[in-house]
Amino acid sequence: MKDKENERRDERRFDRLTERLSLPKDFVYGECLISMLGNTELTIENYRNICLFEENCIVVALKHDRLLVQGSRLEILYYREDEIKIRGRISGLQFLGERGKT
Amino acid sequence: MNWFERMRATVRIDVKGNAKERYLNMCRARHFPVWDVTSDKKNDVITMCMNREDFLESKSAIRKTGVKVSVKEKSGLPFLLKKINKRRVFVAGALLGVLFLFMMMRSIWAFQFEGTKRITDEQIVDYLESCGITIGTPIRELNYEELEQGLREQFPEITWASVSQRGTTLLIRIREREYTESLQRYDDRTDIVADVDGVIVSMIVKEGVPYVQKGDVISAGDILVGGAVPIYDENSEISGYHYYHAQADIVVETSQRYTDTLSLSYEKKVYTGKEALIVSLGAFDARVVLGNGLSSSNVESQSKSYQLRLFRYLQLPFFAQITRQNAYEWQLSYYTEEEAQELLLSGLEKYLRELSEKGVQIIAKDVKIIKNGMSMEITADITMRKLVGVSCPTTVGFVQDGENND
Repeated sequence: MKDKENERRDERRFDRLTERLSLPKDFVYGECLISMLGNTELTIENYRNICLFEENCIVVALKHDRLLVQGSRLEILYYREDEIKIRGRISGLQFLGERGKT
Repeated sequence: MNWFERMRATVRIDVKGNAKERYLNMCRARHFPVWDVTSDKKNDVITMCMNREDFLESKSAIRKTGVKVSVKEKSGLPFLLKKINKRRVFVAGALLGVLFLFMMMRSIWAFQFEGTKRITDEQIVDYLESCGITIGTPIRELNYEELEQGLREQFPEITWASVSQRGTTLLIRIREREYTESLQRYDDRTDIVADVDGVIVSMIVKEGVPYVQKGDVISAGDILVGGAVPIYDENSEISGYHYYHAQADIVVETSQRYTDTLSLSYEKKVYTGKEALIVSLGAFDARVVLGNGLSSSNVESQSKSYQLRLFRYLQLPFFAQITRQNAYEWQLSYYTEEEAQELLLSGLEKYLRELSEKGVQIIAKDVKIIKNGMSMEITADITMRKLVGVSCPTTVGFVQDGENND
């Protein structure tokens, strides 16, 4: 019990320090950074892996979530270790939650 | 993708199977760059591009995921070199061809002339040769401005000259002085003098003093219009002259006799049937002749020359000449009276046509054909209307002027 409390206290301290130092959260926590160019291009940084790739939908696993990209004529322009770029006619984005929790 | 990346060996592959996404993730985990990933739901295939080395390294991932991978397209310099290696003779030939063309394009291999009328192409070629410009002269040695000036100085008839180069052809365009322009060189003090006998039927004087009038009978050498216009003083005596270049349109009716004789016997060319074909092939200054010519002295030859060229102006120094030789013999033959008459009449018609082209109006013609032994003679008295008069320097007033001056 004490270990968990210590852990939470450390987390809170870490949060406060991050806020005071104005550090970017995507860098500190490894959260994903999503940017879109109109509805034709989508860039996701800090993704984990590709769960599903089809012409009409792509599911990308993030650190704490999964992102569903819906559209038509979807294609992956490139993907690297930390970044994936999707092109096509994007009609919707949906967070599906972590695998096994939804 | 920059040029360097384009040069790399890349493959476009089709991935089939249930664990396609796993294969993609394994490529990512191994830091293999992957691009242009598309999905074909119909065939359940993912198509993607990656470097060849990465593809070969991903064999273990293929085995683990159990996907089926097929190479759809290979691109990049290493694959191209492999293809070239298979056709190295063809590629070497093509490269040599391009190099040869490039070398050829540095020299002049043909001349082309535009606007030549009185000056012949051969005269210009002779002049170019005297300047050191022949077939094969390097283009960089040409000085167009100097050539243009030289042409104008060498040939006074040329009023404008342009020398330019198109491909391997030296294009020489000139404009010659018109005949009417040369007339203007005459002295300003000129009379119009009759050059034929006849009766004046119309006369329009533009400048000068008329010495004759419509209906007058004139002879060759008569002054028709004078270029010296007298100036009268208060006593109505000539005090001097104003001089002009006399100009007038004077039409006279005159008659002219046309005669021609044709011998009824003639030598006819009869072909013996012996033929020969000579083909001459040339490159630069060298020539190779294929085939033997006929040894007979009476040989008719027809030659046709060809020069190899790419497009219109890219002439190359490769020539071919095809000569066809036919042997013949002279055989004594005779015209029939009808044939002879026809020939004589066609000669007359040609003469009349030439006169008409010069602006002469034919009023009447009286034609007689007489057989005289072994020959036939045609005589035609032609009545015509034509412009008369040539410009001659005036003599009127000079003596008087001289006297007055003395």
